Order: sequence, then structure tokens, then C-alpha cells
Amino acid sequence: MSKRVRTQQIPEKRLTEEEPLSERVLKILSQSARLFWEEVKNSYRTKSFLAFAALMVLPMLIILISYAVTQYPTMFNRVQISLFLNGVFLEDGAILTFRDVFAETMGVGFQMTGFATLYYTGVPIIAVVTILTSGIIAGERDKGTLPVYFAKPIYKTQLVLTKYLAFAFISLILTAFVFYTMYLALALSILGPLGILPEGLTYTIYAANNMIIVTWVFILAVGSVTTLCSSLVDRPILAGVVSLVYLLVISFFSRILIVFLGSVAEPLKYLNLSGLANSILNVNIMGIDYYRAVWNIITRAGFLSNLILGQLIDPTLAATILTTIILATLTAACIITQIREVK
Amino acid sequence: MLAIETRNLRKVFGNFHALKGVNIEVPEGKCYGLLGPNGAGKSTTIKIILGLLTPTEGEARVFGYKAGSFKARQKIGYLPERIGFHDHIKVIDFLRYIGILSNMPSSELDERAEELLEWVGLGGWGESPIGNLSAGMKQRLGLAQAVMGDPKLVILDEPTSNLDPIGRSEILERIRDITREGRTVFMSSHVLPEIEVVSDYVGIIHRGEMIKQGKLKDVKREAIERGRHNYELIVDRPEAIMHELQKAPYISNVARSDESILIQASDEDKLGRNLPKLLLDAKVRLIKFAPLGESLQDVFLQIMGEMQNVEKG
Repeated sequence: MSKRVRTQQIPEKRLTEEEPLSERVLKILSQSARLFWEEVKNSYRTKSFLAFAALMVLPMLIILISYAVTQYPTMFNRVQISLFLNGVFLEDGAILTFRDVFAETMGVGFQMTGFATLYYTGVPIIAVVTILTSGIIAGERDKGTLPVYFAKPIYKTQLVLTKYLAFAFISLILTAFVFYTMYLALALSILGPLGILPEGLTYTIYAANNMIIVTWVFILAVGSVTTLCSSLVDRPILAGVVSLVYLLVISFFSRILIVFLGSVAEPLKYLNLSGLANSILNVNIMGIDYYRAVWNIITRAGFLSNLILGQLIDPTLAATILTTIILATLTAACIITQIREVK
Repeated sequence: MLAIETRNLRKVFGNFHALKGVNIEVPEGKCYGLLGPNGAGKSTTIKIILGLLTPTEGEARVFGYKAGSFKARQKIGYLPERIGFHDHIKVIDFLRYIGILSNMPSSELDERAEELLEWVGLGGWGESPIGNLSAGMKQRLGLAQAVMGDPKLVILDEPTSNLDPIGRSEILERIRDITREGRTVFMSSHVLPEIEVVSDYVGIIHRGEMIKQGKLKDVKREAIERGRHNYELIVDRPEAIMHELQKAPYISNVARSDESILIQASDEDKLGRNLPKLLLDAKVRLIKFAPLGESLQDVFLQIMGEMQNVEKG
């Protein structure tokens, strides 16, 4: 019955005052990298991760299928007409640049991907990301594992950041998969028959990259706001609800309030994560000029366009605000975790 | 070298004084049992030693390092009173995670984790999600994680709570293994026979004060010598006879400790003759009446009784 643990000499290699700072930093970084990788490996078994993956990938498939069935048959004619009209209205009758052709063709295709933009910076993703990240600290507090971790030689900030980075990594993989698939399918179906696929691929990848970065930053922002809530309360469900209510109120009520109240509610749009993401997307969507981007929004958003346009702000400002929100909330989450006692 | 040393530890939560100047000395390589009723301050003491709580006053050191410092934490493995697990994580992955937190080299992680699982009787369960384990198995996994990373000091907070008798004895056997290897064990419990089985040293804590501390056998010997005339009485309604007992001329002291009434007789002969009538008159049912013996349980009861008398005096 009595199985002995291997009696091994307890190593005396302790961190001493003399240990050079660089060595210590290296040790912390390597420990963090290992923790990060364990988090990534463990995360895909959770239900909330499966829900996240499903809400990311399934709509993409639905959009592609419905596009193939309903849009594609008429798409080709429309692209050709649009190219023809452009050709007619060019004053000197010169040949369109490739960039113009690409913008036009993909612009039509954006009736499809435009819907995707609204979805991927909208409620379902906010909800599922909130659920996914609500447990980052509160989940460990709730389970009682936090004291075990904090009794070990790590910095509390390390734990918060490795968990958050694991979430960031997973969401980057999913976002990249969704948009590369969608854009490549679109490019193949439109640019292929036009015979300009090889040239178009560079633009396609560029456009997809823009979408990926902005959507990812949006997801990161939702995640970091939730991480902050998660560091404040003891139960993940409470962290999730608080964060979700806050984000939804800011995202949707602010739009309605701005329409009805006008300038009084105006500042709210600087906190609306969806609105901020859209502000960047509309300009960077393909690297095309602003008026064309606005045209894209009007065609793809229909009756919603007024509400969304009311939310648009300068893209550079929007990007700055989003980044600031991520950094500020994460820093706050680290500080709160550092100073909160573990009961 | 002292594994744990605390000086005048005080902790105040709002108006509640959880610790009122606790001094503890735990020699290296020994098993120290911290005893006390629920709410006595055991977990608070442990959390201060771990650096999870900051003392309001006083200080705690682990192997000479300030409690909670990076260096102190490098030496500690910890099993909290109510450890929970994420059910979806595989048993082996959980231990790997703890190993990385303890800064173990990657090459040793899996081998050590398998070894510890074997040791706590969970060999072959490594690939199962933790959710598939029973409560007893989870507690054993908790013990394995406390030893992962080869800490010099293993701190166990009520390691046998919520376990059946078989589960308890298994855990106690493993705790003995840990001390045999030369590691220091600091465990808290309110189940005295358990502490008696594994500990070399005991400390008895009551309402945030350390009232007795030392080698187990010394504490017992001293208590037995002083408590020769002490009896433990258990009845169904203790409150009904407390007053009568206090008035009885042949009883010098009466105190309550949970279910038990502790009686110090000034005249043992009269106590034996008169007690049955006293119980009859008060219409209470006798459950147990016995002199306090040598078990730690009895020693504890006696010390608790003395404490209450001191408070009254």
C-alpha cells in the first residue's frame, strides 16, 4: 500500500539576490510561454470554446452557401455591367487600373461580406466572447484554484496575461480562418472567371488581413473588458453578465440614443466597440478611398446604415481608442488581481 | 532551521479579530498539526504564511524568507481546504500546469506527474478529464499537486475534510510518506485523531490565539498531569444542567466545548455519587461520562475547558 515517492534531493538552485536581472527575466518569460501553451492546449475542450468556434465558423459557411445559391448566378452580370459603366464614364476612355477593377468586383461581393462584417462585430460574438473570457480570473477564484496558483513562484500578472494571450491566440486563429476562407472563396468565384485571379490574390489577401486585424482587435477589446470584470468579482457568471450588459448597452442603446437625443448622447459612440471597429473597417476594408467605403456601407447595411453612419468616427481615432481600451482594461485587471486578497 | 516562523501575527477583518498575536515555530522536516475548532483562525494563519493574506501586524517567515516573497513561494506546495478543479482538463495536464508554475524543467514534468499519480493511487488516470474522478480521487489529486514541484514545505488545510474513513486513512498514509522524505508538513485540522496519527508537533489555536504549542508528546504529558480530575460529560440537553453543575460544591470548574461538558472535580467520590440524581432531576439523557484520557481529543477538550475558565475568571 505504501508506495514511496521517489526520494529526490530538493534542488537548492534558488533565485538569489546575485542572479542577474536578464536571467530572471528570461526565466519568467520562458515560464510564461509554457503556461500560455498549456492554456491553449486545454482551452479547446471547454464548451464555451466550442460555442465560440461554432459562432465564428458556422455563419461563415452559411454566408458562403447562401451566396453561392442566391447571389452568384446574377453576380457575374452585375460585375460586368458595373465595369462597363465605369468604363463609359471615364473621361479619357483610358483603361481602368487593376485596382479599380478589383474594387468594383469585390465591392459587389461585399453585399455578402458586408453582412459578415456586421455579424462579426455584433451581438452574437460579443456574447460568446464574454462567456469565453468571463472565467479568466473569476473562474479560478470560484473553483478555489487561485490560491494554489498564487502560492507558487509566479507573478499574478503573469497568470492574467498568459490566460488572456491564450484567448487572443485562439481568437486570431479562428478569425484568420474565417476571413481567409471567405475572401478566397469570393476571389475564386469572381476573379477566377474574369481571368484576373493571380493579380487579384494579393489584393484579396490584403483585404482579408484588414478584416482579420480589425475583427480580432474588436474581439480582443470585448475580451479585455470582460477580463476586467472577471478580476473584480468572484463568480464567472456575474463577470459575464456585468460585461455583457455593459457592452450591449453601449453598442446598441447608444445608437438609438444618438438618433433620438442627438449631440447629448454623442460621446457614447467613442465607447461603442462595434462602432469603433466599423469605423476602421469602412476605410480600410480594401484600402480603397473613403467615398467608396461609404457606398459599401449603404449598399450592405440598408436601413441600418443611418444608425451606423451616426456611429462612425475618424478611423485613426477609432483604432487609438480601441487599443487604449484593451491596454487600459488589461492593466486594470492585472492591478486589481495583484492587490485583491485571495480569501 | 525553522521552516515556518511567525511573530505576533494579527489579522483584523473589519471589526473581527481573526488572529490576536499568533506565534508559530515549525522545525524543518517535521509534521506540524494546527488544531482548533472551526473559525479559530487556522485558514487565516495558513493564508498569511502563503502570502495570500497580508497580516495586520506581525510577520511570517518561510525558511527565513518573508512569507509571500518569490523565494518563500519557491519552497511551498499547498492544498487548500476546498480545492476545485476544471472538469474538462486532463488529470496529467493539471499536474503539468502546477509543475510549470513551480518552475520545473519541461523534461521532468510528465515523468514526475505520472510518478505522483501512481503514488496517490491514480495511476492510469492521467488521460481522463478531472470531471471523471470521484470526490476522494480529486482530494488525492489535490495532494499530488501539493507535492508537484518538489516543495520543501507542504501546507495542507484540512486535507481529509469531506472524505469517507477509507479515503481519510489513505490521505494520512500519503502525508506520512511526505514527512518520511524529509519534507516539512504543516497541516490544519479539527479532526484530532488524524493529527495525532501523523504529527510530531501540535499547536492549538482558539479564537485567534495560540494557546498551546510544542512536541505532541510534551503537550499530551503536560495536559494529562494537570487534568487528573477532569471528566467529559455528554448529555442530550447540556444547557439544562449547566447551572446545576456550576452550583455543585464537589465541582470546581465547568466548561462547554461543542457537545461536551468538561467537569473538573474537587471531590471525585461525591461527583460519582451525586451526578446520576442531578441528571435525573434535570430530566436529561446521559450519553457519555468518562474521565479524560490520553488521546489528543481529550487533551484538546481539557485545554479548551481551561481556556473558558480563564475567560470567565
